[in-house]
Amino acid sequence: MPAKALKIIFMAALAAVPLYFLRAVPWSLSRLAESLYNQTYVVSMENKVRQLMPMGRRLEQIGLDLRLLSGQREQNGIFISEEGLMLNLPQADELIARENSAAIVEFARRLAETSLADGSAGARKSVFAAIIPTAGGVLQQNLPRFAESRMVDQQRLIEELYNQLSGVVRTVDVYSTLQGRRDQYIYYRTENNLTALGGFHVYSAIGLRMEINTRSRSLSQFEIEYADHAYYGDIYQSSPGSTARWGYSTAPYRGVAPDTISLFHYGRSAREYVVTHRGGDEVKAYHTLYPKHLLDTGEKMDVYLGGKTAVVDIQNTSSRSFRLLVFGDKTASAYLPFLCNHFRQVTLVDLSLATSADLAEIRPEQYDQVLFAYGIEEYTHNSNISAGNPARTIREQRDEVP
Amino acid sequence: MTLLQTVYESLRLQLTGLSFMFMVLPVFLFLFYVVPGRARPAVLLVLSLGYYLLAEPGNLPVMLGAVAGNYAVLRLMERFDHDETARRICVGVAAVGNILVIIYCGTVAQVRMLPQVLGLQVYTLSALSAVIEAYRRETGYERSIIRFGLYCCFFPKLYAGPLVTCGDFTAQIGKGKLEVLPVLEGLGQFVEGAFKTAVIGSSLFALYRELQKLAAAEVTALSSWCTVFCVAFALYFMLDGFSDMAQGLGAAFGFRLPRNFYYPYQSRNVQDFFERFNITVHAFLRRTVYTALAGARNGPLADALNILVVGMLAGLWFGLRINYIAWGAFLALFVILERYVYPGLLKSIPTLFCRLGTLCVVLASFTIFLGDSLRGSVGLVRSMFDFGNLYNDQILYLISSNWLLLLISCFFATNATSLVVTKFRRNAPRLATAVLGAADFCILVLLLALTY
Repeated sequence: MPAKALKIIFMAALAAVPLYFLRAVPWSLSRLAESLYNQTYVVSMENKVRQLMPMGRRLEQIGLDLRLLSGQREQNGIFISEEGLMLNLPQADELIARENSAAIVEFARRLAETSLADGSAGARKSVFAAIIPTAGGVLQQNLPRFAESRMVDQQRLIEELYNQLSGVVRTVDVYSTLQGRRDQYIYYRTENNLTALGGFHVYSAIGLRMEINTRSRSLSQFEIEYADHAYYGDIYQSSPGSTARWGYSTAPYRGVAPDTISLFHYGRSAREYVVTHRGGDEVKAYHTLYPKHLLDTGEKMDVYLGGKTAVVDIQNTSSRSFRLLVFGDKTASAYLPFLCNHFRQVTLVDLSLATSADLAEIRPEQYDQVLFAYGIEEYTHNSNISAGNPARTIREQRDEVP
Repeated sequence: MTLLQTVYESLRLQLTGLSFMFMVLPVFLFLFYVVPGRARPAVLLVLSLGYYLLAEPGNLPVMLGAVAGNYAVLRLMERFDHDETARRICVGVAAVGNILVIIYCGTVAQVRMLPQVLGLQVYTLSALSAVIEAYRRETGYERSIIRFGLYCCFFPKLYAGPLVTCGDFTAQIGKGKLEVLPVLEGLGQFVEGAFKTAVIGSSLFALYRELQKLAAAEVTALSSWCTVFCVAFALYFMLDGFSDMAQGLGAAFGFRLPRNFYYPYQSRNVQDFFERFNITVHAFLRRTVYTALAGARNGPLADALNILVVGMLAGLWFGLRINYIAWGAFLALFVILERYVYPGLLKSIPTLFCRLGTLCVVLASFTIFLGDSLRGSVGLVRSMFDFGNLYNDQILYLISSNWLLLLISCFFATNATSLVVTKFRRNAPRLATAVLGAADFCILVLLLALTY
C-alpha cells in the first residue's frame, strides 16, 4: 500500500475513533462547566466511554473468566463458586450493632413495664430475637479453599449479639438450625437470602422457642409449587458483569445456575389470607400469601407476601386469637409464610421504610408476642433498628392511657 | 506510600483511562499531524497544557510558574553570558528555587493528605537540568519559550519521567513527520506500558493493600515477604509502565525518549541496580550532584559521602519522607561496600548467586521504603524472619487467589521476553513487526478486559 494512502487511512481512523465516542462528552455548556468545576468530567466520561465500547459485555466476560482462571474467587466482596455466589460479610460495625441491640432491649423493657401497668400478663408478651446468618457463614463447604479464614465468624458474632440482649429478650438459635441443614437448598445461589426451605427451618427454630406447635407442620405436609426456575437474585445483579449493568440476559459466571422460587402451601387446612400493605398513604391488599401475578410484573421476590412495604398486615381465618408483631427485614419473606399459620394476625414492620406515622399506628400491647428477626448483615451494618426506635411506639400509647 | 498512591489513584483518570485512549489521544495525534510542521511544537505544547488542565487543573499555575521562572533564569544567564559570577548566581537561584518548590508542594500535599502534584519533580528537575546544561555550556541557551515549555511539560513524561536532557529533547523538536509504522509501534509500546501499570502494577498494589489489612495477630513470615515483594514489584511495574507509555507516546509524537528501567531486579550488584532502576533520575543526580561534589576525586571517604548523598536524593524522588531517604541511604551503603570493602568478592561468585543476593538486598531495602516509620520497618523485618509463625490460611488464600499474578510479575521482571523479541526482530524483521503488532492488539484486548 502506498505510504500516502496509509497516512490517509491512519488520519481517518484517528478522526473516526473519537467521533464514535463523542456521544460520551457532555455537550451542554453548563453541564461541562459543572463537571469541570467538580472534577467529575473524567469519571463520567470514563463511564460513558465504557458503556459505548463495542463488545463491552464480551470484554467484561473475558476479564471475569481470566480473573477466575488466575485463582481470584472473590470479586467485589462476592465469592464465586460453581455452587453459587456468596457475600463476604464485612467486619461488623460494633457501634451500630450495639445501638440496635440497645433499641431492642429498650423496647422489651418498656413493653414489660406497660404490661405490668395495664395489668396484663407480662409472660404473654414475650419479645424474641432471631439473627439470621448469611450463606457464607453457614455453607462453608461452598467457599473457596482457605477462604474461611477471611470470613467473619458469624456463629461467634451472633452469640456476642445475643449476649447484648440477654435477660430481656428470648433469643432463637437460628445458626445451629441452619448449620445442621447446610447440605440442603437453604440459601439462594444468586440472592442474599434464605430460600423457602431455609425459611421453613428458621420458622421451626422460632416456633420451638415460641413454644408453638410446629411439629404438626412437618415439611411433608406442604405442597411445593415451583414458581420460577430461572431466577437471578440481588448478588448476581451486583456481581461483575451483571445483567443489570448491561441489560443482557446471560450469566456473568457461566457456572452459576439460576435459582428456583418455590412456594410452600400448607395442604391440610385451606385458609384464606388477607395480606394488607401499608406505607404512607398507599394501602393495597392481596388475598393470598403468594400473589403470583407479581412474578411477571415486578421483582420476582415480591411473590412472597407481595414484597416489601413499611407495614404488612397478614390476617387469616384461623380460629386462634394470637397475634404476632414482627420487626424484620427481607428475610421475613422466607419464614413468615409459615409462621403466619399459627396466628390470627401477624404484622410485619420494616423499620427501614416505616415513617413516624406508620409507627404511630402500631400498638405492641395489642399483640401477644413480638419478634425481632434480622439478617446479620442488616443488624451489624445498618442502624435501621436504632434509628427507627421501636420503643417509642409503646411510649406514645402509654401517654394516651389516661 | 505517597508516590505509589498518587500513581494508583490517578489510574482511573489518566493515561490508562479509556477516555484518554479512545478520545483524547486520537484527537491529540490528529491535531498534531494535521497542522503544518512548523506549528507542531506550539500545538504539542498547547495539547500538553490541555492534558494537564484535564488531569490536575488546580496545579497548572504551579507548573506554569516553575517553567516561566526557569525560563527567566535562562534568559538572564544568556544576558550575563560573560559574567561568571552572575551565571553562578543564576544557577544557584534556579537550584534553590526548584528545590523549594518541590519541598513546599510536597509538604503541603503531605500535611493536607493530598496526592503529590502531578509531574512536579519531572518539570522542575527538567527545567533545572536545562539551566545547568546551559551553565556548563553543554548546550546553548534555549531561547524559544515554546520549545522550552514543551521540553518541561511534554505530558507523557510527567508521571514518572524519563528525565531527558534539554539538548537531546529540543534537538528532536520539529522532526515530527508522520510515519505510520513508527507511530503504530509507539502506540503498541504505550499499550504494553498501560498493561504493566494498570493490570500488573495495580493488581500487585491491590494485593499489597489486602496484606496491609491483616491484623497484627494474622501477620506471618510469608505474609511479610509477600508484602515486601508486592511493594517492590508494584512500584517497578507501575513506574516502568509509565516509562513505557511515555516512550511509546513520545514515539507517536516523533520523539525518542530514553529507557528509565532495565530489569532492575536481575541486577548483578547494587551499583548495577542503581544503573537499571530509575535510570534517568540517577543519571541526572550523577551528572549534577555527584559531579558537583567532585565525585571520587577527593578520596574514598569523600566519595562514600557523595554516594550517600546521591542515594538519599534518589530516595527523595519518591516523596518527602524519612523512609524514602533511609531507603536510598541503605542502598547507597551497599554501593560503598561494593566499591571499597569487597570489590573483588562479587566477581568470584557465580552470576546467578550475585543476582539473587542483590535481589535479597533490594527486597530488604523495601522494608524501609514501605514502613509507616522506621520503627514500622524494623517490625516488618522482624516478622519476615519469624519462622516460628511461617504461614496461616489467610496468606495461603491470598497467594492461591493471586498465584498467576505473582508468577507473571516474576517472569516479566526478567529480560526473557526482551531476549526473544530482539532475536526475532533480528532474524525476521517483517514477520516480527506483524507478529508483535498482533501481540500488542491482544494486550490491548486484555487490558480492556481486565480494567473493565
